[in-house]
Amino acid sequence: MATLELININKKFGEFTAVNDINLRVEEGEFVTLLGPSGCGKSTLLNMTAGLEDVTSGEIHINGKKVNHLGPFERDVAMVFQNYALYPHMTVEENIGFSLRLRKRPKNEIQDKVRKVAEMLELDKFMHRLPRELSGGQQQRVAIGRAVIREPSIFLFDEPFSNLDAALRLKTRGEIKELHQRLGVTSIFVTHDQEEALSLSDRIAVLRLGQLEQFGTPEDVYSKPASKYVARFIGTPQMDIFAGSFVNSDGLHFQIGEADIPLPVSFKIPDTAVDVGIRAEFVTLGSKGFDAAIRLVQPVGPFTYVTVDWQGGSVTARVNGVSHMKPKEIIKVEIDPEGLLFFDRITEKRMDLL
Amino acid sequence: MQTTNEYNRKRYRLGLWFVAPAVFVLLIVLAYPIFASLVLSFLRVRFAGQGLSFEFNGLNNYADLFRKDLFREALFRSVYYTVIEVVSVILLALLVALMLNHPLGRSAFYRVVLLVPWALAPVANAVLWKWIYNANYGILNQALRGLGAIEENIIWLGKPWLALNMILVADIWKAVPFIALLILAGLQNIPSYLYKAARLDGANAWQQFVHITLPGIKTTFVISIVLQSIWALKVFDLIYVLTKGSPADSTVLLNYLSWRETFSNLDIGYGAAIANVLFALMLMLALVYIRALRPRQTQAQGG
Ligand SMILES: Nc1ncnc2c1ncn2[C@@H]1O[C@H](COP(=O)(O)OP(=O)(O)OP(=O)(O)O)[C@@H](O)[C@H]1O
Ligand SMILES: [Mg+2]
Repeated sequence: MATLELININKKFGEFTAVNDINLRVEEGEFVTLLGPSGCGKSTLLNMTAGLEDVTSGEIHINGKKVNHLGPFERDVAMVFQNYALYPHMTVEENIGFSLRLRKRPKNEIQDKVRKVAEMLELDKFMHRLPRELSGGQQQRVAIGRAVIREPSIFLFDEPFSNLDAALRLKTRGEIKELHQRLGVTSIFVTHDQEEALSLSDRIAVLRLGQLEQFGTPEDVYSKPASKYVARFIGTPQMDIFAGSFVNSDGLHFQIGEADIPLPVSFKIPDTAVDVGIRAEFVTLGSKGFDAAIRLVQPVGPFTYVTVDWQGGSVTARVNGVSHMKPKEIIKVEIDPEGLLFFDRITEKRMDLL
Repeated sequence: MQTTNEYNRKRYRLGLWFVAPAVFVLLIVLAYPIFASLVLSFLRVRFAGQGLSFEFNGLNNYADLFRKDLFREALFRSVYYTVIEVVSVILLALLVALMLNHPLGRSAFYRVVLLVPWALAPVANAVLWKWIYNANYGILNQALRGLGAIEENIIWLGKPWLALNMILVADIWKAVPFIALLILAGLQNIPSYLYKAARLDGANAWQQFVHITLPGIKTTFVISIVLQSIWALKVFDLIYVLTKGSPADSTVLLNYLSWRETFSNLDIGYGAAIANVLFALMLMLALVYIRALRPRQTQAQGG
């Protein structure tokens, strides 16, 4: 187990800045996710941490010691690659035991350790198969086994689930979480799937164009997103954002088009223009509020997401269970002011006003 | 079902028409000569009066192979020649390929330069080396004298073993580029993430070479060895241009011997027998080649 500290990390590929001045401190045993869309620099950051790629500037500390000059192996980190990177000519057993064989450990020690790891990952039946004779999920477990056997102080995962189908993804996600609970090894996990990040992490680092947008607990990034960008990126369905203005007549209201939402007395009115973000769980459809036409009905099992045309845009409501509403029906929309998130229209940063 | 079968049969029949011309040409240019050579090797052919006379000779031509010293010597020299050529070409080509695959060697310029020997016509290459080796005016002697390595000109093609080895040098020079490109393609097929994974597992440069690079180009290696063996066994033009088998028949290899027995000594049946021995050797190599190219069978699933 170890702490990891990234200090003012920059990475340039020629003129292009892939990682821009990132500071991040990961505590011992923490599970941290790097989250962001494709091309935002997640893999680059991970590769620099692993020592596979040099930093342009900045320092990487593991356990308080600077490791910039160390190779991947000396940093004592293990990595699971997106495409697993299994050695194609080695059996499962040889793949998992490769690092021990390189270190010339005694044969029976290698065998014992490999068997233990293989049993833990339910790979013991496939020991003598080549990677291409395994299913995607099995290959993925071999890749994890190869990392686990090294007993590293940090695990790095680069989108390890992206080649798996949806069901297997969920299963493997659970397995990774269990593995982390059992071994307690500091882990950095890269993904562009916000749900994956929310369900796995102690903390999430949201990246945008090589910059750190927010670093916080899943709860924080969900309910207190630092910016519009984070708010839109996190949560299903995507947060709806409207422009509007404050009106102070008959109590304080926030006015969106013709709809006005009452605000509590304690509300602090800012002196800049603001946009408001609305999450689906704070939208109620029924008999109160403002008329709207249903545009889209999407059942997802426990909920149904109902999108309605509203004030020149659209807003999505979360309805419990299966809804029998139909497109084009007119329904009333009510919005819970408790759930509103306010963003500075210019800087796009969230403002604490409630 | 009936209709798909009917459909497939029609497709099949149409396909036969499409390949028929190619099969016909192959039969004429490949199957017929092979068959004729086989037949000839059981005959004694003589020039009598107006034309040729054929006479059944049983296995005598093949028995002659064992009786004649020259065949045994040529066979031995061909084996020597092939082994040395294959080993040197593969090792040199591997070295060249590794350099070309290095970031400093990636420039297309090097690949173009490398291809020059390969692009030369075989006889042009042979003539080129004939001048290089020329005892009086050759650049090799001049260069070595200039460096002070030798005092008197060496007659490169005038001493038995030396001549054979000088032919080898010329042949290797011509063969390395192609094999190097073959191996380079193999190297470039190894995904870079395997090296990353190996580095994380603690493999140093040598261990990466042994555990990632070599297994990655194993198939390429087998193919190169087989192709190069066939190339070495059938060497003819270099010998024809450089030495014609001299001095004292010391550079007579199998293919050259077969040609000489057939077209100089006009012992056509015996020449055909030698050619058939060569054919058998190459056929075996070709089978190895085909095996190596076949995708590997999945191994027995272990438990
Ligand atoms: N070797 C390189 N040379 C030049 N640009 C690069 C190189 N590697 C990455 N980049 C650029 O840096 C940026 C970040 O790349 P990176 O691979 O870290 O993205 P990512 O967040 O991992 O994306 P994805 O989710 O698609 O894997 C991209 O715009 C990419 O084009
Ligand atoms: Mg990536």
